[in-house]
Amino acid sequence: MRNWLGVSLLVLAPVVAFAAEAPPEWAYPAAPSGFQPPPDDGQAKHVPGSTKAYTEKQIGDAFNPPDWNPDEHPPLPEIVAHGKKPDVNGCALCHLTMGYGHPESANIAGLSPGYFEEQLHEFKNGNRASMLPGRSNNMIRFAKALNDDEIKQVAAYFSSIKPFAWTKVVETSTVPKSYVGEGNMRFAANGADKEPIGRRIIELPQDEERAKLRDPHSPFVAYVPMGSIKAGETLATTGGGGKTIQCTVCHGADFKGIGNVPALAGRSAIYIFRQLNDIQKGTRHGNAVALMQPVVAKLTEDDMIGLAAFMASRTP
Amino acid sequence: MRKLLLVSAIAMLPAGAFAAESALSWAYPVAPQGLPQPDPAKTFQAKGAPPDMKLTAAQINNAFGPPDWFPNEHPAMPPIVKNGRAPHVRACMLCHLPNGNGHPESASVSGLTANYITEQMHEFRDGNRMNNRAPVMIEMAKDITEPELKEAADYFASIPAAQQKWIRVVEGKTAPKNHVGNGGMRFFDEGGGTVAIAPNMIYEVAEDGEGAELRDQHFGFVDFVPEGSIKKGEALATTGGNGKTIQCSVCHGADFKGIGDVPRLAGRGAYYLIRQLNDIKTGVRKGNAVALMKPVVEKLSDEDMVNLVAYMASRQP
Repeated sequence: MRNWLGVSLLVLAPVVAFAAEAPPEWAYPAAPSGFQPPPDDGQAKHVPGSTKAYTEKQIGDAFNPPDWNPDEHPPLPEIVAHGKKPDVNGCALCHLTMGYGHPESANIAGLSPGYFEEQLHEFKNGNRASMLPGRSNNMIRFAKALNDDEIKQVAAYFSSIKPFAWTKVVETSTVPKSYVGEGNMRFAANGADKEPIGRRIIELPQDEERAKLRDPHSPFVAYVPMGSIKAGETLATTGGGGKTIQCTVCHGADFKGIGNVPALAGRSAIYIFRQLNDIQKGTRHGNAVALMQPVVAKLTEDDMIGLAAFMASRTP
Repeated sequence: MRKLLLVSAIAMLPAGAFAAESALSWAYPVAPQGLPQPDPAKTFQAKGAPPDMKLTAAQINNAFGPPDWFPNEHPAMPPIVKNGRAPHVRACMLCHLPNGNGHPESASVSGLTANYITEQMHEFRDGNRMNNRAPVMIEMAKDITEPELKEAADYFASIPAAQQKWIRVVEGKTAPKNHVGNGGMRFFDEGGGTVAIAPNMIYEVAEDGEGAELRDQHFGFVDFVPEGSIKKGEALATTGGNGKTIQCSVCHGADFKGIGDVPRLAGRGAYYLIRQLNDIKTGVRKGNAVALMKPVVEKLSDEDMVNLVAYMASRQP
């Protein structure tokens, strides 16, 4: 079944990817419409290092997602733990209790409160839309339903979490065949089949089951094309002879951010790619983003793959 | 009268200006103590103001109702800009003038984004913008309400570019003799003569001394800058000077008119600009956005800063 789904998706992918103005499918993962997750077996699930147990239904509860390791983080603000019915999911549902997130969302641990709050306002104002229509709708709906105090509490919480090396970057010419499934996450297809990576980044959970259980100790691997890390480093540190502006100027020599300029080091590769691409295409805009427009204007998709690969590979 | 003022000012200047820790004390002008003041009841009129508009010296210096000589030349003015709110919030236009271009000892705030202005007031409030002029702003920033601040920010953000032109830059080996007088402003000496411009010195002088004292928004300032400084400043601003600094254009825009909430530099007064560079370098101005400026300024000498601000002041706002 898994295999079949994988194959059908690959067959479909080119059609979607080359339609006019469609963003690269690998960076904007979306489960095919009508995708049905496997039936819930109703059993209590466990993850290593936690004494807690949750059923699949509880794990997918948008207003009470699992908190596997309550001793490892400060008390969760109400919005992070439970959201606000009916419009705001608990942040921990997609970003996890520790904020490391999944590739289809964002790693938000350790961002400055100022940046964090600003981004929620940008979602609210319509300045953070995705090149994939509708992809930001959830965040926009949440941001509109949150008041400033709630936004401040959430920002203070996630900014207090130390960033963590969550994405291992591997240069390769072939990747496991994969498909997009539950939670718009990409998974390796069953079996050992591989395919050429081409000009893509394929980001997969290192442990599929634990990722599905929203375990905040279950990181990802980003497969990137051979040579892309070095190519990205050159662009990031030299500007590539005027093609772009050195990322270090605003994001810092170690790419860990300066002031309210966000960290790039160690964040999800496909997240970084999406931001570069959304800014270039103009769906992400706004005051601070205006500074990024000349930075991305001349970048090719390959350049953005290199930059994303390099940034994800850096120590956060 | 002026002449008397002048002599005493010059006599005092070295003590005030050069005793401080920095060779850039000239950029932080303070009016000498004991300057003779006009009779508070004496009336004045700005050139070109309505014939029936005569204001006393007391009215001109009224922190809660300073003069608005040309009310038809600006958009509707919010009460906080026009009159402030006693006792802690002076009218913004007392020092920044109705056109927001300000005097050298304050700041040009015209054409900045409302977000930037709001952020700066919060930075004053939070102790991230400190220098010898800051206590006044801090007092106001702590008392102003958010709605008042928003009105003031929106007002100054709306000043069109055509009204932001305020500074004339003149390069040379010498400047006309001038002195620090009332309001910490520099005025031309009545006796004429010239003074050499050192490579780490700028004289920012009122185009029309009386106009400046009357808070007349028709008269800006002249920056007398060292010979060759504009070109040197341009090289630093556009190339970074081989790693000495970072090209200003990256964040302030190719025309230095600002990008998003990054402030414009073009056409702002040299004194204000050099204070900011120096304050950031010495750490008295700090905060989130300013963190981006730290590596930009850390290797700059006083002369580099003079060159940069000479260039920026010379640009079209």
